[in-house]
Amino acid sequence: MGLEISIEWLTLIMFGSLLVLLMAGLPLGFVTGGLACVFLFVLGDADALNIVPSRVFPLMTNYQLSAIPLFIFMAAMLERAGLINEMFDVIYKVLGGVKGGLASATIIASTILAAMVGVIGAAVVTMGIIALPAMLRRNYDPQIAMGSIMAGGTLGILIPPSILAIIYAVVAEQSVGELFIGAVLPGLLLSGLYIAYVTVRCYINPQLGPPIPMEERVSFTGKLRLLGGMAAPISLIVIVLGVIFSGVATPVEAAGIGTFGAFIVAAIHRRLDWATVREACVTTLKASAMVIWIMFGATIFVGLYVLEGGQQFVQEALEGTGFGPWGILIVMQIVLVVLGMFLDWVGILLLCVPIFVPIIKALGAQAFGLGNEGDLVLWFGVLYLVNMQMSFLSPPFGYALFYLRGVAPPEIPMSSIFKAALPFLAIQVFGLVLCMLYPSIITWLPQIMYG
Amino acid sequence: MPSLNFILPHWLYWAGLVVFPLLAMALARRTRPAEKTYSVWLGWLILLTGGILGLHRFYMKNLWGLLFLPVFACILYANAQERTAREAYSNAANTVRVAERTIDREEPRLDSARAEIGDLRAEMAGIEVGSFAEKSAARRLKRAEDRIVTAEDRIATSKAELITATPIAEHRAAERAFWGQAARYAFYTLLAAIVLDAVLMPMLVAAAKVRLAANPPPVHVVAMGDDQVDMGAGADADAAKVTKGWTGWIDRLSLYAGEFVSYWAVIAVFVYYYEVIARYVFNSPTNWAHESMYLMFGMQYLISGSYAMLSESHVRVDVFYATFSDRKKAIVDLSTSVFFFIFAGTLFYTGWIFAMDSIAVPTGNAGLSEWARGQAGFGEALGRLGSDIADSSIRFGEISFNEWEVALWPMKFMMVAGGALLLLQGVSKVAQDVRVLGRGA
Repeated sequence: MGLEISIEWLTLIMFGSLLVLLMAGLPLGFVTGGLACVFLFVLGDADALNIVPSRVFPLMTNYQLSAIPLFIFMAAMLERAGLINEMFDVIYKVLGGVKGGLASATIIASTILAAMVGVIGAAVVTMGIIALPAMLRRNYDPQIAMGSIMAGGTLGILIPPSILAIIYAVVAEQSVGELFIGAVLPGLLLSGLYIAYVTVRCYINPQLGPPIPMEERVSFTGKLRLLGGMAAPISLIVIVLGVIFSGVATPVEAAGIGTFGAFIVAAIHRRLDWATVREACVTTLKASAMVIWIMFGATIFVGLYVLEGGQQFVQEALEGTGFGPWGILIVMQIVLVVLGMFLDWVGILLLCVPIFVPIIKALGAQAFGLGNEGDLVLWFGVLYLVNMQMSFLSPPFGYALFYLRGVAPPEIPMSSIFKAALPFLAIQVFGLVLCMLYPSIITWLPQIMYG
Repeated sequence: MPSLNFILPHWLYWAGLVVFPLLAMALARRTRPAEKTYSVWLGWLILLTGGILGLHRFYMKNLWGLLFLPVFACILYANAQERTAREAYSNAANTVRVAERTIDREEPRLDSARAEIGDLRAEMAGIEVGSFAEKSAARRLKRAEDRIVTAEDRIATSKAELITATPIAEHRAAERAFWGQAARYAFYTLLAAIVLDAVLMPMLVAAAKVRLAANPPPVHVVAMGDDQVDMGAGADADAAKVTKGWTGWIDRLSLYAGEFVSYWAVIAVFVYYYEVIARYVFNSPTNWAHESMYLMFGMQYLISGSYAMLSESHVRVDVFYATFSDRKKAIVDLSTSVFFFIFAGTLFYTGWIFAMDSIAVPTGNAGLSEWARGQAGFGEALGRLGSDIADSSIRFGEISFNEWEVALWPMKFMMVAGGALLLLQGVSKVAQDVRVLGRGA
C-alpha cells in the first residue's frame, strides 16, 4: 500500500502490536513473521513480500548455524543416555564431606553440564529434581539449595558451547570460536563466585549446609573409582572444547565430533540403541526448530525496522538522553534484562542486537577503553550473555524461578524461591561490573588464542 | 599416507537423505531388548568408525584401547611435520627454480653484451672525437657495460641462492619423505590392530559380558536409572498429540515428516567426523562435507516448523495465556491465527515464486526449466522427465557455486514444503479450536 509513517509512530505501532500479540500467546516466531509480512505490505507493496524467502534462505544455508542442532543433539544424546544424573551423583559423593559440599557439587555439576548443554532450562529442571531433594533430605537450608540450583542453571548461557553465543556470533558477524573463548573466563568467574559464596556461608554457619554423615561418605579410592566412571563424558568435554579453542576444527565440526563422542559415551554406558537415538533426534528437532523459527520471523521483522530507519531512531533517542557512552551501555543492559524476563532470549537477541551493536560500534572502542572494534563487539556480546543470565534469575518473572517452582516440593512458598535467587543475582551484578570495569577478563583469552 | 579422494556423488547424497531416515524409523520401532549389554554388531560398527582411536576397546571398558591413542597421536604429529616440511620444501624448491631460470636467462644476455662491447669499442676507435656519433656510441657503450654489471650481479646472487636453497630443498624433501613414511607406518600398525580386533571382537564382547555379569554397575543413590528427567516430552508424547478425525491426517503428516528429517542429524555427525579424520589423518579435506550438511540442516529447519507446532515447542509468552480457560484460549488462538496464516501463507506463496525462479534459471536445460520459463507446456515437461533424469548433462535448475556443484533448487522447494506443512498444521489447529468452542456451547 506504500503508506508513509513517521519512524516514531512506526516504532510504536510495530512494537505495540508485537507486545499485544505476544501477550495473546501466539508463538514469538509467528508473531514477528506475521507482523513483518503485514508491515511489508503496508509500507511497501505485494512485491515487497518477496523479501521473505530471500531473508529465510540465507539462514538455511548458513554454515555456522548448523552448530546449533549439533550441539543440542550432543546434549540430548548424553541426557537420554542418563549420564547427567550419574554425573551429579558422582560429584556429590566426592564432595559430600565438605560443609556446603552438596551445594558446591550442584554448582560444579551445573558448570560441567553447561559445557555439554547449550540450552538452560534443562539444567535447572534436572538439578531441581535430582539435587534439591538430596539437599533438603540432609537438612540443607532451602534457600542455599535452591539458589545454587538456579544460579548454576544459568551458566549454560555463558559456558561454551552456548547456543545463544552461536546466534549472537551469527547476528553480529563475529567468530563463534572467539565468542566461546571470551565467555569462558566470565563463566568460570561466576561459577567460582557462587561456590565461594556457598562455602563461606556454610563455614560461618554449618547449619545451612551440614556435611553428609560419616557412614555415607566414600573413601578416597572409592572417589577415584567414581571419577574413573565419569572419565568418558569428561574427556568428551575436554576434547570438544580443546578442539574449538586450539582452532583445529571449526565449532561446527567440533559439534559433530562431540556428538560422535556422545554416541560412543552412550555406548560405553550401554545405552546406545535406536530408541535412544530416536528420542535424542526428536528432542533436537524440536529445540532447534524453536530457535530457528524465531530467527526466521525476527530477522524479517527487525530487518524491516532497520530498513525504515529504526536503528537510527533508537540511536538518536539514546543520544538525546544526554548520557555518555557508559550511560547508554547501562540503559541497554537494563532493557535487555527487563526484556529477558518476558521474552525468549533468542527473540531478544534478534530484536535487540541488530539495533544495539551498530550503536555500540558508533560509540567507538575508545569510549570504553578497548583496543579495537572486534574486541568491543566481543565484549558487548559477553555482557549480553551475562545480562541474559540475570534476567533468568530476576524476580518476579525470571524463568529459573518458575522452572524450579515446577519441580520443587509444594510446601516451599514462591517468596522463598524469590529470596533464594537474590544473593546470587547480586553476585551476578558483581560479576557483570567486574567484566565491565576490566574488559580484559573477556578479551584476554581470545587474544592469547587467536592473537 | 594413503589419501581419501572420495567425493560424495549427488545421487548418493539425495538417496541417503531419503533412505537413512526410513531405515532409522523402522529400526527405532522394534521392541527394545530388556537387558542392556554389549553387542558384537555395535562393536564392529564402532570399530569401523572409531577403531583408529581404539574406541571399540573403550566401548567394552577395555583399557588396551589406550595403546591406540599414542599411535594415533603419532600419525597426527607426523602429518603436521610433513605439512610443515612440505611447505618449507616447496618454498626452497621455488627459490631454486627461480634462481636456475634467472641464470639461464642472464647468461646469454651476458654473452651477447660482451660480444657487443667489443664491437662498440672497435667502432669508438674509428670515430672522430667530439662528434655526435662519438657521443651516441659512448652512450651505447655505457649501456652495454651496465648490462654486463647487472647480469653478472644477478647471476652471482642466483648462484648464491642456489648454493643455500638446494641443500635446504633436499633436506626438506628427505624430511618430508621421512614423516610421510612415519605416518604411513603408524597407520599400518593401527590398521593391523583394527583387523586383529575385528577378528577378536566376538571374544572381546563375550569377555566383557562376563565381566559385566561379575561386577554389576553400582546402583546410584540419586540417579533414577531409566525413568530419567526429560529435556521435554518424548517422541511418543508427541505422537499422543495427534488429534482424532480428519485433522489427525494432518497431524500425522507433520509428525512423520518431522521424525523423518530429525534423523538427518545422525548423518551429519558421521559426515563431520569423516571430514575431520580425512583432513588430519589422511591429509585429504573434502569439498562436499560442509556444504552438503549445512544445506541438509537448512531443509530440516523448514520441515521442523510444523512438527514443533504440533508438539507445541514454539515458545510463547504465557504470563497471561497460561491462566486462560480452554475456551478463552481457543478464542484468542483463533483471532491471533490470522497473523499466523499471513506468515505461513506468505512463506508458501513467495517461497513458490522463489523456488520456481531457481529452476527457471538460464542454465537449466530440463523440460521442467523450460516450463518454468514459460517455454514449454507442463505435460511436455513431464513427458521429458524420464529422459532428463537419465541424461547426466541435464540441469534442472540452479546449482551451487561451490566446487561440489550440488543442486540448490530442491532446498528452495523445501521452503514451499515447509510453508505448506505449516499452513496445514494451522488448519488443524483452527479446527481444534473450533471444536473446543463447539463443545463448550
